[in-house]
Amino acid sequence: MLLKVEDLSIAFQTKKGLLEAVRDISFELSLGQTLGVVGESGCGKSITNLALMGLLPDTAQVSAKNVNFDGLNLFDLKESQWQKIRGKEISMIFQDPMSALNPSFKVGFQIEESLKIHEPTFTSMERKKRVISLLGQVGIPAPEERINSYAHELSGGMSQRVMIAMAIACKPKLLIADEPTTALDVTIQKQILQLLKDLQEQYEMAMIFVTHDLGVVANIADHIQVMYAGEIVESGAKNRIIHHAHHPYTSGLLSSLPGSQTPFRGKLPSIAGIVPDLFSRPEGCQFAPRCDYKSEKCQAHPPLETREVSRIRCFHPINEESLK
Amino acid sequence: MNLPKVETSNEFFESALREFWDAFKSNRGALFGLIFICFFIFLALFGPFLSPHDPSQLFDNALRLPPSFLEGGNSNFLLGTDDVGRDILSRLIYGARISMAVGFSVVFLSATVGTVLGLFAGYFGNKVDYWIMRLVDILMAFPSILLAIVVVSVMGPGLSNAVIAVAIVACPGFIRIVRASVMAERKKQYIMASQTFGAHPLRIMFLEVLPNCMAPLIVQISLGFSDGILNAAALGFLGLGAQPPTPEWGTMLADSRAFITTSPWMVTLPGLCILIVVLGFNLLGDGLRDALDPRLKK
Repeated sequence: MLLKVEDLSIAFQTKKGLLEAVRDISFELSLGQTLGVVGESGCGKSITNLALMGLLPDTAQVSAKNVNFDGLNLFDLKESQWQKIRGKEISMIFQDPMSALNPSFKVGFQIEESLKIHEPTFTSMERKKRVISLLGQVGIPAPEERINSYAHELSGGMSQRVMIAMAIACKPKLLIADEPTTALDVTIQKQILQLLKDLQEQYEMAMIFVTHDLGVVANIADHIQVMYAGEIVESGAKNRIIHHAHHPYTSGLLSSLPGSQTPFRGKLPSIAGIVPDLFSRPEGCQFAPRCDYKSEKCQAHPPLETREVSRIRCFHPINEESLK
Repeated sequence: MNLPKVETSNEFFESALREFWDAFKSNRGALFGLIFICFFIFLALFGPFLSPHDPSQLFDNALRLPPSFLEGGNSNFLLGTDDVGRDILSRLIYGARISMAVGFSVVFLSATVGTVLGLFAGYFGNKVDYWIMRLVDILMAFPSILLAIVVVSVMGPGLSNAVIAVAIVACPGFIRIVRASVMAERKKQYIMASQTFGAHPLRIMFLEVLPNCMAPLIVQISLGFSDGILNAAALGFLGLGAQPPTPEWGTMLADSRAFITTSPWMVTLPGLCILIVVLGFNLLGDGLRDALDPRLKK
């Protein structure tokens, strides 16, 4: 097991009170596997990623029973140890590739920088060769010329490819992709997904893929974890979640996808209501106010139960027969 | 495969430079400023070859001679002589050296200290920011020349102490400008990205953030020159800066104040030099700001 997170909670002390951004999240990930994390904006996806990189702001209060990465307890690390892990063992790609590259430097130099930090034995010739081969690997035409480009000279898709090259430069064991395709158009999105898949196979990386697009996650993930208001509401193998969603929220998300269920020009179904304000969370089930299946029972907080192969946080799972 | 021609970085750099130069030269004032400054830098560099006399040589037979183009002038002393018979032109040329050196050292000191403090304040925020900004507030609460006088009277008068005093006075401007642009850059994703690649905060501050904050900094540097020269001249005038017989413009002004009615050129000429240099740097600074700020591009 490469990464094992048990009961991770993250809270922020603010002027308005305590904000619990993430509550009791647990998951595991092995080399070569992809975990797709799905959820609305503000449900704690990105904050969890930052916690895994040790980059939470100082105001964050983090608690966890165990966060183990490759035999290391991540939260025991000192800042200098973190710096050795970031970029080398765990690296990250971002939503907006255009702003994730430094506008003042050539992209080749930026890729080289992380090699300089993490592979000090490389000579400058070796580094340059490696940068060019990396750019070739991520599908950038004429890499020898492109190393001298600046970020603004590249398109969004190209910038994201450069970011990916930077992220895999030191062959990390875990790649965190935080909505890497959201800012790209659909055809480029498909290419980038394919690229990530190929690279993952080649380097045997584990990957955490955060998105709010179920279509994307169905394409790339092995396991899916659905988050709502800072909690995991359902997680399990990809096909199980996509074809037999048990939690009303997951099923709501799935039926909100434009697809075969909706008639042509028909109104897209949506989940009524909005995500709860994290300062005044509802008691009991977080999703209850928006749920069609709620009952008296939902006043209590449902536990995350393991049912067969998936984990569900709901008293009234739908498609119950397939759980038995 | 037929690839579109990729603009190499050298060409890119040249085209950026050309664009900057086009924007800059369309600003007449800035161009004049640049010419003035180049002229004075030329004087400063080649002073010993250009000046007709030694700046501290006394000509006993030529006291308070008017410039040669005025009645009673002597072509040997192009801009006349002062009350003890020193050639004013030579003194002004040597004064240019001093003023340029003062301007450069003030800017170097204040820009270095100010940039470092501003980077720390903007990057770390919170407590670091709080204490640095309170220090800046205190420094800014004093009228600048008063603060400089306090510093000089503590350390003793003299040109180098005046430079330090003026540099301290100039620091807050740099700190504020750097802090503001660092705070704007800090939020951008490439900072987070380089954190995720394991970069040390100092590395991020100096190698990632600072190059992106250069435009306002360059403008402030060129304006800092003029402030520095002006303040150092003011200290010289008050007798706290360069000491006579150093041919410093401010000191020259102070020495010749008594003769303002009888020999007005003695006061006018150094004053004019200060005016032109300060004006030149201000015009240059404005031009740089217009040319470097994308929001002001036409």
